[in-house]
Amino acid sequence: MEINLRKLQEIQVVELIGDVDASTAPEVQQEILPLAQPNSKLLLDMSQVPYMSSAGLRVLLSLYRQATAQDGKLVLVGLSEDLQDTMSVTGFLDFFATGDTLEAGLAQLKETVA
Amino acid sequence: MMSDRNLSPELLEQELASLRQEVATLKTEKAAFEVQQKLLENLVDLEHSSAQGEVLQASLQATLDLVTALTDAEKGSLFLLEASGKVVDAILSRAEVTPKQRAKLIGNVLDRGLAGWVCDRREIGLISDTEHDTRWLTLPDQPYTVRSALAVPIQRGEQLLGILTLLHPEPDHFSPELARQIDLTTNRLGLVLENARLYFQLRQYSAALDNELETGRQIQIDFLPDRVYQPPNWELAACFHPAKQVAGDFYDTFPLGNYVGLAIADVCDKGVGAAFFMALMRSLIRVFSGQTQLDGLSIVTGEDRQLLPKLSSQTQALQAVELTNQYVAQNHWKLSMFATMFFGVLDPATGLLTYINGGHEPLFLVNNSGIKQTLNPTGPAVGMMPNMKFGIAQVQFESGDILLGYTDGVTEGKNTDGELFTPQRLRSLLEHPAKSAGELLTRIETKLFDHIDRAIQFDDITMLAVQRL
Repeated sequence: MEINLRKLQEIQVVELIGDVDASTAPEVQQEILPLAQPNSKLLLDMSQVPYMSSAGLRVLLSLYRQATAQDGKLVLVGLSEDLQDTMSVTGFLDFFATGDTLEAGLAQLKETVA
Repeated sequence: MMSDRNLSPELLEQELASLRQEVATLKTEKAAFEVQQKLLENLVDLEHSSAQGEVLQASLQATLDLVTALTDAEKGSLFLLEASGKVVDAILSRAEVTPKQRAKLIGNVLDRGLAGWVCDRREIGLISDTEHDTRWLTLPDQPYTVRSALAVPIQRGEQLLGILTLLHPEPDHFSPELARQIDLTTNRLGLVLENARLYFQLRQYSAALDNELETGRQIQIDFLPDRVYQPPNWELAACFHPAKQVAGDFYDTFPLGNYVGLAIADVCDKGVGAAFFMALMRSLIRVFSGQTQLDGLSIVTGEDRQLLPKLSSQTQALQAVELTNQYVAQNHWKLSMFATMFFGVLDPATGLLTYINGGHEPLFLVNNSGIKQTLNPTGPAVGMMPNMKFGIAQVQFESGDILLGYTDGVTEGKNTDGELFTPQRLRSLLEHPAKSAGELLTRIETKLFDHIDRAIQFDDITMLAVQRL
């Protein structure tokens, strides 16, 4: 599992590379949960995540709760068809703002500034 | 060096003496090097071997036997000490110690005799003749004569990890040079012992962890029904194959007045936490559905009750899903646990199934010509967020129809190449008519386990099949 963090102005970009399952989810959780600070804008780039198990959904749920509680914004981009499917069946897709590409996700987060 | 012919005989003698010294030093170092080499090979063997206590014991035994043989000692012992100085293990050369003797040694503190002296000083203890050395204690029941003794502390940094002792019946057996050789090898021995200690810790820890996982597994199995409920004119079949690591699948079949409760669910993530939540959610569904069945909507507060339309008893029982969602999302939100869950209330007399699919894999109603209906989610996974609404849907069983529910352990069953079983494969198995619910499950299990083959099963595999006869 590779987790790359970078800042694009006020937006925190998190790039995940690899499967998010029961064995990698704790690491992802530890790395990204502290990023949900008051009014923070988070973009999760999932374009290089081929598989996500329910342990990964659990991390997303934690992050969503944390971000919402802190009046932060969270956008997921680059979800593969399989990931979208998993998130659609479980109802997760209804809670998350998503974008096809990094640019689309950044645009969504920037809009909320104005 | 020897070409200088102008040297006096004294100088030549001096030169000779220094050469002898040099050769002796080299010999010592070479011998020490060889011992170290052998110990290192031993260590490498240990690291390459499968993680088993016997292997480590054998390795330490081999190390001791090697040192005993190289020093031509008659007996040798290796005491492993813990930080307090207590003996945690005793290994004696050529495995001649009886379990009784060994048990007697363990737990003692080496505070007397030569070993006590070495523990105290952290330096080599060499006794050339025990009869003239006050450090030697002759025990009254000692069955053999000892005249020479050599004890070497084995240290790793500040820590004293053990003491190696070598004995011989003749005096003057161990020379100071030999003592130096052994001392040079103790670095390696220290490494072996530190590895041994870490290994023991790891083994203890992993045993404790295995134990915890086993508890989790037992909790999970204990909360599955002993027997699948069988209403007249229906056949219910279920299977559950737990993952190597504990997960949180469950199914349930139980009578609800004139109806039958049917559940299949998958708690998110893995480990003991998933097993606990499985137990919690399964119990909540049973209690809430039974309670609503008996008392109408008594658990909903008075004010809410006024607003609710009059519900059929099947629909009332399904309130259990909303109540479970509310309970988990409000009381356990910190853990972000949720479950995908299908809960249905079947009227066995009419074949009408009223259900909620909370974010679970679609179920299939099949007949002789294949899948006739797909029961997709009617709401989100249960426990995710408070105040969720769960749609209620209905499906009608005709005679012979089979409903198949499964968890993603089926469709995501991986083979040794990492290929998934896939929903497509599962669907293709439903194209041919099945004689019974049990036969359908066996068909899927056979194909699935053929696919998984020797790969490790990472997730629970759970299925429930319900057939109207």
